[in-house]
Amino acid sequence: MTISAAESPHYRMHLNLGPQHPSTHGVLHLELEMYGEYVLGIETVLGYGHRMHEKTAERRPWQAFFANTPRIDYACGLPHGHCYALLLEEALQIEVPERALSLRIVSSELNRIASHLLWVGAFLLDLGAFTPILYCFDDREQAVDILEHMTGSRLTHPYMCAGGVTGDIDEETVLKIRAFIRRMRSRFSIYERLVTNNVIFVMRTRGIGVITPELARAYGATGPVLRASGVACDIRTVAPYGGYGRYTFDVPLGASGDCLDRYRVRMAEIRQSLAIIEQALDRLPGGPVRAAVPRKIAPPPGEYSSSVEGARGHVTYWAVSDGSEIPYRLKIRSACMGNLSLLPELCRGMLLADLIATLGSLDLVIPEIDR
Amino acid sequence: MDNSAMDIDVLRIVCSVVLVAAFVFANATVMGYLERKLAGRFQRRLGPMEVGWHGILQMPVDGIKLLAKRMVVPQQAEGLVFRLAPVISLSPVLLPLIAIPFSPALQVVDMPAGLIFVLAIEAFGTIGVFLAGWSANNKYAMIGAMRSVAQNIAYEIPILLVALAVALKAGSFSLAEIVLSQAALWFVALQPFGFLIYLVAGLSECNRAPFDLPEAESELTAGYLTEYSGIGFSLFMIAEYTHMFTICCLATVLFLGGWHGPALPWPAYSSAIWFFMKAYGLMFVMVWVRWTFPRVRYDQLMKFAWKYLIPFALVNLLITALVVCI
Amino acid sequence: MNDELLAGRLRDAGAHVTVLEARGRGLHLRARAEMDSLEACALAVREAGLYPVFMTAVHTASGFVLHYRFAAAERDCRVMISSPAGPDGRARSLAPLFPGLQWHEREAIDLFGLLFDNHPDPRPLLLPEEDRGLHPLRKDAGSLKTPEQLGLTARPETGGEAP
Repeated sequence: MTISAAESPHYRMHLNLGPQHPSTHGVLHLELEMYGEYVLGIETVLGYGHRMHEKTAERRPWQAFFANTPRIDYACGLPHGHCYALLLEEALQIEVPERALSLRIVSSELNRIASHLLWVGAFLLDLGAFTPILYCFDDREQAVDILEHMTGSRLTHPYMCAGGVTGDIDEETVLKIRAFIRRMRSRFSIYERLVTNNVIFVMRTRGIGVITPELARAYGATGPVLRASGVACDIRTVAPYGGYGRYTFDVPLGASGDCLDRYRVRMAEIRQSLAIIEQALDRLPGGPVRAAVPRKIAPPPGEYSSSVEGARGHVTYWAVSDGSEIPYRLKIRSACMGNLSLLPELCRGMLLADLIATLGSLDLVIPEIDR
Repeated sequence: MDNSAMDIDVLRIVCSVVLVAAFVFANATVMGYLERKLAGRFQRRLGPMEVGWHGILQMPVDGIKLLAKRMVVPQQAEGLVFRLAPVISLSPVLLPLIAIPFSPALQVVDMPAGLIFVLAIEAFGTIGVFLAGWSANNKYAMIGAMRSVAQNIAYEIPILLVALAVALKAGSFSLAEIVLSQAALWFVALQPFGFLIYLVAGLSECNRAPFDLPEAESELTAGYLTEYSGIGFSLFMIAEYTHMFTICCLATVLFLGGWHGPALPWPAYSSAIWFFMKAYGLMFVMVWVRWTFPRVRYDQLMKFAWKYLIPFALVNLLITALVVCI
Repeated sequence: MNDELLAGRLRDAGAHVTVLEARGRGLHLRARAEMDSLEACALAVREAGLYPVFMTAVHTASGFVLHYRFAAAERDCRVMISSPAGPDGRARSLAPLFPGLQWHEREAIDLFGLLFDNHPDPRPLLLPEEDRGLHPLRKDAGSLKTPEQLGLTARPETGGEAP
């Protein structure tokens, strides 16, 4: 059918998708202009999860914001903490102990795996398959258990701090992580049979929601969304931070930038993350896990920034200091904002079911956009 | 007709009505429980475990809860139609049960055109779903209703075509006759494609995943069920399980030899046991499929019916007709 | 296009550019431009194939300073362009050049009360319609600092400091 048949407003329907809707993952509100099952236009309404983290930062000492970092992106909070820690360490010229660098990478990658597994389950749920999410949660549970053991929390991990991490791990935890790596590697064949080779899954995702590298660049989409379009944009390799330069891993790339590629890239990234964790455990150095950091932090006046690769893409923290103990300004760049902002252009003329699939494939954590 | 014969007839009708109605609710309870247990097995969890031994009382308790809840009728809804729709959707899936031959003795009436009766009545089920979606005055429900009508019209046709092929083969529209003609060889062996087409179209007919587009909870929240609560919702659920059962019974009658099967130690019940085993075996397949596949897209669903199922069903019918002629 | 070339383009566009070490500031090019030359700078950045990272502002004693950050996807190149906004927070929008900046600028409208002249869709993004005048990231007059106190002005002697 042609969209021109829908020119007349009499045949159009205004549909509110969300903020309470099973497929908007959090509190996204889309106002759709529909013609039958076709989506003519999308209006995105944000702000339901707005907590004004940036203002909070301006009212508290520099270190106090570590409590906020995992709450910005609740599905993958450790890279946010990592990013803020890097920013403070650059500002104060702190050398981080080797063991802390390794532990940061181990915990961040475990968090990334947990986040990707959560996404796979939720994405399949969007496509109407209920079973995979329970397999994903089964596996994610193991990663979350280890993270709970390491960081003391299951979701908002208070682990990163200026100069290192808050806690060490013992030999038992190392064994647990190794067991998780073995278990996870044996589980890929299950996912392959249940999801990757599922005819209907492939039918629903191949060629759907194709993001070209140009579109992604114009909107600042990053992370697996951009890598699925074949652009090797991974801050861990492009601008290695926190010791990532010492690890060997591939950056999985897609070819066509459709929903299927985004799924494949994320599954491949779980494998790469496992490889990184394994390498980190193999050469886990001894020593302290936290450098001596003054109780009162007051970076000299100036601007500071750091970027890391979160599970959803490019995370940047940018801070302006006036030389006092509280930040003058802290800007948090979340990956989801760039990834979501291309949706209205991407989904014009799509079927409702494809819109849901595309929305799901972007891996959105809406409170990360609202902050 | 003398008095005693009439008494027996009245008794028979009353008994049948009571039995069929009781069976429908029992089937929904058992299938609801089995589905939740099976889904648990497929998903590496236990399913209901709390109420009774292994959660066996879960469904009665849920039923009581749903009955006790208020059925909220939205202000903007067409109240009368909204309340009637669950009943309208339940009766067409319940009626075919009077024509199904569960065993040589266990059949309410053997109509000469039983097959046509069953298919015709079943097609009415869509009206209930459509009325539910339309009367709720909710956009998601409306989209679900539109999908349901289009889907059911598309998938009635292949079902009818493969059923016709079987009727040709058996030389009768009577369901008991069709079963009798399979004493030697089940029709699934002669009509394997017909059986597959029937199974796929049957899944779609009772709006089960991967063809649950009228519900499509990730797209339409719950489609035509969005505004239903309490007894209205439970009637739709009962209708869904009954519809599944009817579809599976018809598949058993048409393709799996009905009540035929090797003799069991209890000869009096052997045929009925075989029939129910086959029907529930098919229901198990339906549950299995539901918990394995994602949902297809609306246009893929339509394409599948009109481009593949209907042409193949037509070819199947044509070949059967030729074979029967020769 | 390498970093030196991009720096040259930005200088041609009228910006004051400092080339920094990546380590230390997480940045490579720090450009400071006037509002008039901001669009020319953004065009140079777009030609270099960079994607928008974020846009934000800082409230200082001498008004708002807009900050636009860009990065390259497949190489290590990060660019920050800053520009003081006009009085009352008047500014030119870069959203027509980078559609990805549209939401960031809408956010800045919400939180700072900036006024973009040519923004395609200047509605509130995060705050509800009734909080139009709230602007939570504006500072009280007492706590405002000058750009000099914040180290936001060009300091060629310290700009390229080594770690």
